Amino acid sequence: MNRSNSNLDRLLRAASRATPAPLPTDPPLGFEARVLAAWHETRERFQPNLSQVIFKRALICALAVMAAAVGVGLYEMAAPEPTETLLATATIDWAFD
Amino acid sequence: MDEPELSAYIDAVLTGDDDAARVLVRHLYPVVLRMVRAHLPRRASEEDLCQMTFVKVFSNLDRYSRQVPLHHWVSRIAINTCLSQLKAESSRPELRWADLSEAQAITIENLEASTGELDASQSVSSRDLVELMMSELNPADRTVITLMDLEGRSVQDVKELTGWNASVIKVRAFRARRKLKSIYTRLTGETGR
Repeated sequence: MNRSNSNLDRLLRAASRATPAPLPTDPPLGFEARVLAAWHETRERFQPNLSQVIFKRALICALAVMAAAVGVGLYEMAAPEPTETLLATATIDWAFD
Repeated sequence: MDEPELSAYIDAVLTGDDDAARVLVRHLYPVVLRMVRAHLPRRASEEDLCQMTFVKVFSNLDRYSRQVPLHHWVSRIAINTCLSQLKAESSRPELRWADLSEAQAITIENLEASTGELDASQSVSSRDLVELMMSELNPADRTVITLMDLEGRSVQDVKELTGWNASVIKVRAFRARRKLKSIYTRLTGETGR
């Protein structure tokens, strides 16, 4: 350990021995009221109002309906053609051949 | 106030009981103030920081798991509030010899003149000097020096208070002391000591 590092250690040790100023046991006058007011304000600011809640739910429902519609559409596109349609197509093809 | 009693007050606060919240503020005020004073950013008022800490405590009380004592959880929020505030104060001007008070300059001269421990009458000026030197450090380095070197806390304590892991704390402490050492060397170099 070099000289200035040792000096720094001694400085830190001396600083750690400094008695901190006595802490007040009670908060300053009106402090609790200010804390509660700030807390309530924060809570209200982050609490969504009724119209926001309704809009959010409507948006979720609309997205669910859209997803269901897309799902059904894809399912129908992927499904094989019904037998009746195949028979009719085959009959028409046979008649024209 | 013991933990079960505190737990009852927490339950009451969670149901919106303002009287219980007032009791918790009065009970926790010395804990929060002690943390805030130890980690106070230069331009912040301690009352504002205490208020910010309490608002965070109440806003997040539903997330308090009750697996650690309430004092620890609140201390951690207080430290993190101070750290955020310190980060917001981005400019860290370089400390010069001319910025030191007479008592701080004498402290350095005494350190340079002898190898023994400084006497008790110089602990306040030493503390002020270290605080000044720490104003050049980044918030995390400053926190680690305050907790470990000035408050004498162990790595485990720092881990609980900050949420950092042990190796990060050790590396940070090493680097922070190295930076302090270079600031000290610069200061003494300015006067040709």
